[in-house]
Amino acid sequence: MNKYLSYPEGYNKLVHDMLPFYLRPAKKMLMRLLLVILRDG
Amino acid sequence: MNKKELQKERIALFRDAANFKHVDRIPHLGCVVTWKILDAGYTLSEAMTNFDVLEKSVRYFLDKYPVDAMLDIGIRNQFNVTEAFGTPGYYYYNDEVVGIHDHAYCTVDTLMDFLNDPDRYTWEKILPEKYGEDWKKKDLATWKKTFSEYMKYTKFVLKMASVTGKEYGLPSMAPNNPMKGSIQFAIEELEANLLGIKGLSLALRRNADQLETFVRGWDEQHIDPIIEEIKKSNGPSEKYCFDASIMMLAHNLLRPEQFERFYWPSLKKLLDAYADKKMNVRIFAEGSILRYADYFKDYPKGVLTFHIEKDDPFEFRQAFPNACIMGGMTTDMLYMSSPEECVDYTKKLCDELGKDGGFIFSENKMLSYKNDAKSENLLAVCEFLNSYKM
Repeated sequence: MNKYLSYPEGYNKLVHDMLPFYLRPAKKMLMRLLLVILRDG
Repeated sequence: MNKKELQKERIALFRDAANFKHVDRIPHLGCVVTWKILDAGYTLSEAMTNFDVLEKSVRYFLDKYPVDAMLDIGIRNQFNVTEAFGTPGYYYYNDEVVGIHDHAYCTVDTLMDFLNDPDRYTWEKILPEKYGEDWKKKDLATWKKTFSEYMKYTKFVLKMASVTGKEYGLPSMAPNNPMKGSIQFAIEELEANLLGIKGLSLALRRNADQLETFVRGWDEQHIDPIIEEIKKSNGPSEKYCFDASIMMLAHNLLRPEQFERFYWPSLKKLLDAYADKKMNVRIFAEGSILRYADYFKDYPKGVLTFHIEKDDPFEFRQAFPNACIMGGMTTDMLYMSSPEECVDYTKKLCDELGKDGGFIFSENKMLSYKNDAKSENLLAVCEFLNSYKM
C-alpha cells in the first residue's frame, strides 16, 4: 500500500520525505505550484 | 542606450500608448509562442523538454525580430515536469503542435468541495482520477525526480527573465504569476478545468443557481484579495508595461444575460478597483468582445487595453473609443500575403488607430503553428514598426 495516498497524513509525509530540509520552510508555496502543474498539465 | 534604459523606454512606450498619449513609434508586443521554435529550425519534440533548445529559440527570435515585448519567453509549458511524473496528462505535443484535451475535475455537485479545500480535493479526487492505477504506484523516487525537474523549470523561468531583460532589454508585461499567467475568473476556471466546455455549457442551463453560488465563493477567495491589494497599492508600477493581465475566453460561450450574471459582477469590481488607482489592465479578449462594448463604456481612457482576436480593429475603435487596442495584424495576413501587403496594412493600422496613442501593434493570435506567419512577413513588419515615426 502506497503510504502517500491519504490526505493530509500521506501528503504531509511525502512533502517531508521529498523536499530537502532547506526547502521545507517554503513547502506551501513550492507544493502548491507543483500540484497545479500535475493537475492542469 | 544600455539594456536597462531600453527596457525603461519600452515600458514608457506601452504606458503612453495605453494612456492615449502621443508616441514616437508604435510599440510591438510579439504574440509568439511555439512558432519561434519552428522558425529557429527545431521541431516541438526537440524543444519541449530541452531548455537549451528553448533558450536558443527565444534568442534566435529576439536577434532576428526586434519586438518590444514578448507574450512568452519560452516558459509556457512544463512538459519536463509532467514527463518525469511518468503518466501522460492533458497536454500533448508532436513535432508541430501542442494541444490539450478537454477535461473536467468536478461535477456541479462537487464544485463546492473543490472550493472549500482545493488541496484536499486535488489530492483525493483529481489526481487519482487523472492518473488512474498509476497514481497508486507513484513512489518516492518518482516524486523526487518530478520535484527535481520542477526546480529545473523554476530556474529556467528565472534565467529567461534575466536573459530577455538584461541582454535584450525586454520589459515584463504585468505583475502576475509568470508561470501560470493571468488573473483567473470563476467562469474561466469552470470552462478551462473544473467543468470543461461541455460541462459548463450544460450547467449554465440546468444548474444556474449552483454556479452562481460557486462564482461568489470563488470571488471571495480569488478576486476580493486582489482587490484589497490594489486598494493598498501606490498605483501604476513603472516596472511593468501593464498593471494586470486578464484572459477572457468564456464570454464566447455565454448569452448576454449569462454574462451579466456570471462574469460581469466579478470583472466589474476588479476593473473598478484598477480604475480608482488609474492603473491599466491588459485584457486578452479571445474570440469576440464587441457585443459587450456597452459594459465597458464608462471607464476613462488609460484603464483598459484590449488585445483583440477576431474583432475588426477599426470596428472595435468605434465601439470602444475609450480602450487602447492591442493587436490588428492577423495570422492569415502574415502567412498568405506579401511583405509589402503586410507593411501597407501595418501602416494603415498605425495611421488610423495610433495617431494620438491608443494603439499597440500585435498579432491577433498566439503564433503557434508553422503556417501562422511567414518569416519574411514578420520581419518586414518589425522593421517597419521600428523605423516608422508617428
